[in-house]
Amino acid sequence: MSTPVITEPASNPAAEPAVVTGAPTAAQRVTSFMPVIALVALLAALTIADPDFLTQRSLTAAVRTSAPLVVLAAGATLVVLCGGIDLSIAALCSLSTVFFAMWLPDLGGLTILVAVAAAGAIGAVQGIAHVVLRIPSFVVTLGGMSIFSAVALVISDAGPIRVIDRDATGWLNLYVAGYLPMSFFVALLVVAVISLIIKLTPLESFVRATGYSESAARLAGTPVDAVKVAAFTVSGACAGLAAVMLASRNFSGSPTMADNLLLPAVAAIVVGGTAITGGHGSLWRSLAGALVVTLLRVGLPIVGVPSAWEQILYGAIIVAAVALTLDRSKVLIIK
Amino acid sequence: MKSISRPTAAVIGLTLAAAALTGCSEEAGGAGGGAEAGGCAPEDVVLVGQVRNESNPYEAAWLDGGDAFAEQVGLSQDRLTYDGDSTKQQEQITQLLAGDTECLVMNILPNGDSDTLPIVEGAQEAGAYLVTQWNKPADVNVTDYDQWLSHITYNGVESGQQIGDALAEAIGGSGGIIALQGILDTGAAKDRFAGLEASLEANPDVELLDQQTANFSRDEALAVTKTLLTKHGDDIKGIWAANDDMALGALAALEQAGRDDVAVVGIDAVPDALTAIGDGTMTATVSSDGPWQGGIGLAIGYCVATGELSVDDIADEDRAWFAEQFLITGDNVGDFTSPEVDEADFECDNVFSRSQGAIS
Repeated sequence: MSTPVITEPASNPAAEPAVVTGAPTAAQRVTSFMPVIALVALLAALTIADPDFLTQRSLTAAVRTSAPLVVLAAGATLVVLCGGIDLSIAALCSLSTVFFAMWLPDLGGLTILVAVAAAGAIGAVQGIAHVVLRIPSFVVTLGGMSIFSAVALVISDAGPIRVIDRDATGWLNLYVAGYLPMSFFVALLVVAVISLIIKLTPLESFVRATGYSESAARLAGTPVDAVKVAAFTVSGACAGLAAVMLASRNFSGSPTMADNLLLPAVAAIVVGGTAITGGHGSLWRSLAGALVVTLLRVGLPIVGVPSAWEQILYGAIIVAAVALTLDRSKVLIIK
Repeated sequence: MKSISRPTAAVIGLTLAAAALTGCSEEAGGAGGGAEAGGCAPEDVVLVGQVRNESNPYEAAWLDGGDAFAEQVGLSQDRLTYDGDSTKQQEQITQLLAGDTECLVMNILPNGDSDTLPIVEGAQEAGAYLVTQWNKPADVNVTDYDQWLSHITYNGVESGQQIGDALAEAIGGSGGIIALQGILDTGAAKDRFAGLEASLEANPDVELLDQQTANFSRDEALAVTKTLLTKHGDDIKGIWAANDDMALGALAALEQAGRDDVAVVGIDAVPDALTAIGDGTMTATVSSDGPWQGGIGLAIGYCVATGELSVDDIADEDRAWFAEQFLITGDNVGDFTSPEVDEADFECDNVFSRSQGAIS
């Protein structure tokens, strides 16, 4: 896979290698729906392994479980689209669960907004450090990850903080129309709203240009720095929202609660077919990717796959899914 | 790409459709309530054991004990592991409880104290039978729930004292010892050290020269022991460690220093420690009997699910209790190197026989 194959669709010979013009061909349509196809295939496989898995209650539980991961991955997707990476999302999310649990007794229902805003502000600081000091996003957020973990441990006295007042987050455990868990509904809303804002404003071309070729984007007058800071801010705010969801589900905040969600979130982004090198991808792809990863995390053990095989299957399926979903005609360099 | 792309439109459409149907409800549609207590036929019972990791010998032995009980009643156990990841544990439990919970029996090792409550509330809502072990917040009462049948843990003060006494005996009742403490903000580390202090009171000629934390880690214990050996030299006659991993680290440090006159004790009965006790390099450890733990939680749940035992009949002191633990020395180490379960322990009128009293 180290050599990218650049194949131009025969019906569209005039297209630039990295830009799609004109109507997509049938093959391109199939590729763009690949994450959904992968999701359906996985669901079918799990159902064959254990027919009880495909019940309405079981699926409801799975999408409810996926909500924090969807939100985390959605925010981080923006950073990846800009050609960066945000490794601090999980640690920032853990820190935010601690913030949330600590502030809830004083602030009540307002805590949700304050926690999300605080996480967004921390994300913005990382973005500013990245563009002003010109430090690679990988390094800034690696440092951030370490700092946030330590701060969370210190302010929480290295232990979980119980959420006694459940009224503020009780609504997250309701069901829309009887079936759709509210937390997943909120996650869908986040994906839809961010996607819509990007689509309806020049942001889409700004983000893509920054991701595909930052220097070209600068020459073309794109506000690259502002776009990047905004992406980190949204990523941070999403980590804060995911923290509220986790804290409402576990009735506590803990300095390590979300730490193990970093790799699943990155897996969700790449399984969705977003190029880790930037430019190509979308939030809805990460939504499908997050569902695939969640099904793997909860589905494999529940249908009775032994734990050693579970890890092997998880790794193999992730790699296979990325091989299927990544549209190589839009990504010229595979690093 | 000027207009809204299909996927985005689809997501928006779906969201709007869902919003239009708004009418929020407390429960997912079709969610089944709890079963009538004791209404399950024995063959309908589903047994689930969940621990952190099968690569940990103690926890693998726990699941093997669960298998042994399942075989005893003609069923099989689902073995679940969550890699010490609290989030993954919650996700697995949520998914499990979304299936058929009418006759579901769960024997769970919560990752930490804070992980117990969501599991308990989930089981209560779904009507599954739950037994938890080791970790529970002190202010949460088992008797407030009727699906949470029992919580089993071990008295750390007692085990700390048992190995303290064994150590005192091994050094002839007098001399200097050092203590390696566990992670200081865990209940286990605090309780076990309190046990050592009680033992020291009973053995006035044994002197605690120094105590340091090595965070339950073999590597840290190696480093700490080296330092303390340099500081106190031949005054050290014995080393008390709050778990076997640290005891094994201390043994390695002693070996490097060329000392074979120091007695070492630990807790947990991990296989390496049992080997060390077998060949005489280590003095004592304490076993919680992992295979029994794996079987007993399922046995209690099975007895209630099939109606042989009723939750209301379980005495309050059997809802949260300390189980018996066993001091292992050179004399009896042979009985523990290949632990087996005793079927009689899992009979419904016998499931609380190892209780050493309610958790105070």
